[in-house]
Amino acid sequence: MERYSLKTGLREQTILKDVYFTSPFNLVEVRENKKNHLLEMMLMSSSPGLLNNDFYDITIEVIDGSALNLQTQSYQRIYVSENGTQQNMTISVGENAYFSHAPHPTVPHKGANYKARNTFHIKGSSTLLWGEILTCGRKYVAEGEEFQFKKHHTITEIFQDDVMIFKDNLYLVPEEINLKQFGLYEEYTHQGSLFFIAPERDITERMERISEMFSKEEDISFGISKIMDNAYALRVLGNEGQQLFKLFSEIRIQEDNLINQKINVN
Amino acid sequence: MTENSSEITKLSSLIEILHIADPTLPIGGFSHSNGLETYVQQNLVKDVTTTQEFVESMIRNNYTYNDGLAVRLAYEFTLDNNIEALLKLDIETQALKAPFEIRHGSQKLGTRLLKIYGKLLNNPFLNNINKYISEKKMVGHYAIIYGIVTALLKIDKEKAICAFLYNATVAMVTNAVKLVPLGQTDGQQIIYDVQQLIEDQTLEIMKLERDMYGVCNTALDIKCMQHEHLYSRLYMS
Repeated sequence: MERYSLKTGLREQTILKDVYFTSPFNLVEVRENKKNHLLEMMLMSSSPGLLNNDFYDITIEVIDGSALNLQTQSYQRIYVSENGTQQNMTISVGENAYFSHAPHPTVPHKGANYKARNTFHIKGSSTLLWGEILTCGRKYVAEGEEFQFKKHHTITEIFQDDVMIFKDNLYLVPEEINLKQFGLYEEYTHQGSLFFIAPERDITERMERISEMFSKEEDISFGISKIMDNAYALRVLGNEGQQLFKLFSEIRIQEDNLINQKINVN
Repeated sequence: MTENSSEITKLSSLIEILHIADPTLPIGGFSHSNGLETYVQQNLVKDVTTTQEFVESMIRNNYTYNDGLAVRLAYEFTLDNNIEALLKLDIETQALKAPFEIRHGSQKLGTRLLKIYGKLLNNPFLNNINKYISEKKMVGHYAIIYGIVTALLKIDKEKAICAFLYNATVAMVTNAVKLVPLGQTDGQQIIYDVQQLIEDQTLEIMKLERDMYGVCNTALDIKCMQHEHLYSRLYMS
C-alpha cells in the first residue's frame, strides 16, 4: 500500500503539523508568500502513475481554524492493471477551516481498471472546494487511446456534521456503455465536477461569476446548480483536459485568495 | 384459502400496481420534463428517432442506477422494517440529485404520493414515515416513497420496479409528444418498442450492487441544471 497523510497545525498562520509518506510520494510546502495564512502543499510522485496492484491510501486532516490547499504536479496516469488499482482518500475539515483540492486531470490508459473512494467530513462552518477531472485516456498518441480503459469507478461522499450532503458516483465501463448516448458524454470526451461549500449564507454571486466565465469558453457544456443555499455543484463536459483544469484552477485560486484576504496574518 | 379467493388476491394486486403506476395519479408528474425540455430547446431531441434514443438511454443509464434502484432498496428496507437504512437512503438520494429542480421535483412527487397513500392505507409504517418527514429527518423522495408503498401493498418486487420504469417511460413519451412534438401514434410506438428494454433493466436492477446506486449521467445533469436558465419554460424541470 502506498500512503501519504498530513495534518495541519495552527500558529499565527496554518502550519504543517504532521506529514507522513511512503514511496513514491513526497509532499512539499510551496507557499509563495510566507505571510499567507493558507498552507499550500504540493504532492509529488516519483512514479509515472498508478501501476498494477497499487493502492493509494490518503488521509488529510485540516484542523479547526486552519487552511490548506493541496496541489498536484502533473496529470494522474492510471496504467493497465489486471488486478486493478485503488485509491482511498479520507479528508476531515474542522470548524472554520478551509480545504481546496482541484488536482490535474486523471488519465486512464488502455486497460486501466480503477476504483476510488473519497470521503469528506466537514463541519457547518467549514469551507471546501473539491474538483475532479477525468479524461478519456491518451487521445493524442499515434494509435489513439480514447476510452480504451477497462473500468473507472469513483465514489465521492461529503458529510457535514455526519449527514451526507453530496455524493458523486462516477462509473465508466466504455466497452459496455456507449458514452455517446443521451445523458452521458454525448459529443464530449472529458468530464469534470466541482463542489463548493462555504459558511456564507449565499453563494449566488459566485455562481453567476462562474457561469459568466464558463459561457465565454468554446467547446464545452456546463451546468451549475445550488445544492444548498451555501453550496453549489458544477459539472462540465469538454474535449481538452488542459482547458478544464485551467478553469477549475481559476475558481480554486479565487477561493484560495479570498481565504488569505479574510484571515490576515499580520 | 379457496382457489377462487387467491385468484381475487392476484387480481387485486394487479389493480394495486395499475393504480400506483398510473401516470394520471395526481402527484404532478406531468409538470416535470426532467431535462427533456432543455434537450428539445437545444434541438438535440427533435424527432421520433432521437426521442426513442433519449427514452432508451434514460431507462438504461439513468433510471436503472438511480430511481429504479432506489425503488428496490426502499422496498427491501421496508420489508426488513429497517427505518435507519431508509432514512439513510433518502438522505443519500438528496445528496445524489445535484440539479436543484430534479431534487425538488422528486421531493414534491414523493410527498404527494405519500399524502395519497397515507390516507388510503392509514398504515402505521407510512404514518411513521410522515412523522419523519415533518421532523425533517427525511425528505421523502418519490422513488423511495414508491418503494415503501409497493412493499406495504405486498406487490411483487420485480413488478413494482417494472411498473415504475413503465410509468417513467410513459411520462417521458407524453412530454415528448407535446414538446417535440410527435404524433400520438409515434409516442405509442416508442412505448411499445421499449418493452423489452424495460424488462431487461428491471432484471438488471434486481441484481445491482449497492455501490452502483446513483451513477452519474453527466450530460443529463448539465441539461437539468441549464433548465434553470432557459428563456421560456413549460415545465418545472
